[in-house]
Amino acid sequence: MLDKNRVIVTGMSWCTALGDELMPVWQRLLHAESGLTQLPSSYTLRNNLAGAIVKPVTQDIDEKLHEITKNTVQKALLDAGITHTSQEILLIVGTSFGARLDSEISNQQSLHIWTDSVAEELNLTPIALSTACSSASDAMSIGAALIEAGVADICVCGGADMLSDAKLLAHSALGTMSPTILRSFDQNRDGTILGEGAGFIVLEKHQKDISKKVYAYLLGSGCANDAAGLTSPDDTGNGIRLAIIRSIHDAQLTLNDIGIINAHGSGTLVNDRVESSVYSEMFAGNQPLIFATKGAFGHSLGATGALEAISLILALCEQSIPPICHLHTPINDNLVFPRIHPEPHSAIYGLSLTIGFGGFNTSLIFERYIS
Amino acid sequence: MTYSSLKILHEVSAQEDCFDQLPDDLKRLTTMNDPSVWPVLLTTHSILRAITLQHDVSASQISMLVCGNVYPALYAKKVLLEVQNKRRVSPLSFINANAGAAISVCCTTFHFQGPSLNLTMPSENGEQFAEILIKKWLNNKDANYVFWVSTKILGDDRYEVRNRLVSI
Repeated sequence: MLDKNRVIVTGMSWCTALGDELMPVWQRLLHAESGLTQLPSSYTLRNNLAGAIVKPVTQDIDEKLHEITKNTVQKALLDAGITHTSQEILLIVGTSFGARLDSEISNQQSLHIWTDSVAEELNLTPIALSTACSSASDAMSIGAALIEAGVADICVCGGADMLSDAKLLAHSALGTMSPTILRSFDQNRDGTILGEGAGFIVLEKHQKDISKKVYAYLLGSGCANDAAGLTSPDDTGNGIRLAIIRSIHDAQLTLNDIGIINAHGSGTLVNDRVESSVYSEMFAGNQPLIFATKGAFGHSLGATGALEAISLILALCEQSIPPICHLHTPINDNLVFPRIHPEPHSAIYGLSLTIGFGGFNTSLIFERYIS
Repeated sequence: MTYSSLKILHEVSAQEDCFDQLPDDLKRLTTMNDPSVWPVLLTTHSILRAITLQHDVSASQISMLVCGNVYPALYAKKVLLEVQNKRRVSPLSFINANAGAAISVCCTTFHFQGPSLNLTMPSENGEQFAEILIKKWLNNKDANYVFWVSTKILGDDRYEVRNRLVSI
């Protein structure tokens, strides 16, 4: 394995359906609170529940995306103790572009225009990407790769996505939206509930005598395409399997090292069946604790990888994982899911998995930082 | 960290109006896809016909990275108009408006299960980053071959796709 720079997480920030302060939102997750609320719509939808941001800054969807992204990035940088920015800092932003499907203004714009605009205001160099629901995870994977290779010292990585009428209507029509509630890994699950939000983490090259606060190491990442079409996952789970194996290899760990997993857990019939089967098979010798946060945040699409990575990092730091909202009858007896109460643990390594339309599977491995 | 240098094994380019150049079987498969998919699919097919990959490499070791500002504009517009005029969105329009549609269609058609990534920025700005990522995939043995696709909008609804098959 090549000698590479170690990558640390020094700042985090999120804007979610449960709020936008790091530890208060974390506490709400531990108390199994859900941010899914009725969002009245003039359209006929399968469900009017959604994970909407608590304090919207504007109703214009393009402005909302811009402001929420900018504010969250700024807060992440401040959390990392970075008060002066420069073009040497990379801003790596993923989204699934919910906003542009609703907007006459951005619908036919090049996909990087809004990212460039945010980066320019913050005096950062932008990298834009879109891999559906793995967008934010891939953003973090890219940041780590560039730091490991010595191309960058600091990267702010994450994703943002806004609820849009188009996405709500589309998921209603596709049948992926639940008519009831999002129940990750429940035998009675019947679909997902959409959400919105933004999440960013600051990645830096680990220096030997670092004096600032460090949350975790981003130890490894891996991805794989399902090669199964524009929406359907690989029913054999091979895409998920490959992504996990590649991330484990990149982290120079073994499967037995993984103590906790923040799963994709979208609540759809197919996703949760395939995903849980893979975990059951791959971790048969040493089952990690598995949690999922979409029942709390909603499925925030391009932002979800960031919200879930932050949740995983906090779970490692706080040595506790939140219960899965609305989970009553777990899908698989071999797997260990926390229900009702938070579950304490002593895991050092955690894994976060996202699965995106178009077959984009991404796995990230984080290590608890012990100074 | 120093990665091994990339070797370009083959390179093909195509422009936006290339549907008729696709073989009949691929035409049948992709007739309902966004036009931005076709040049990526055509160039990938052309490269696979032109070269012989190592016999022991499986499709799970073949990757695709797309970098550029071409995106499914036709279906993005369709979705917008469906919401405005019909107050509903058809699943076909929605799934084809996915920014990563070209990657998804190519990986599905040719069974590629290597890493895949869609950088949605001008290729001249993104190439330096794309190269690092591709080198990481190849050096980590996540992939043995990568289809490195660069797309560029030329103006007046015209665009160009450049596809390079690379390895180390």
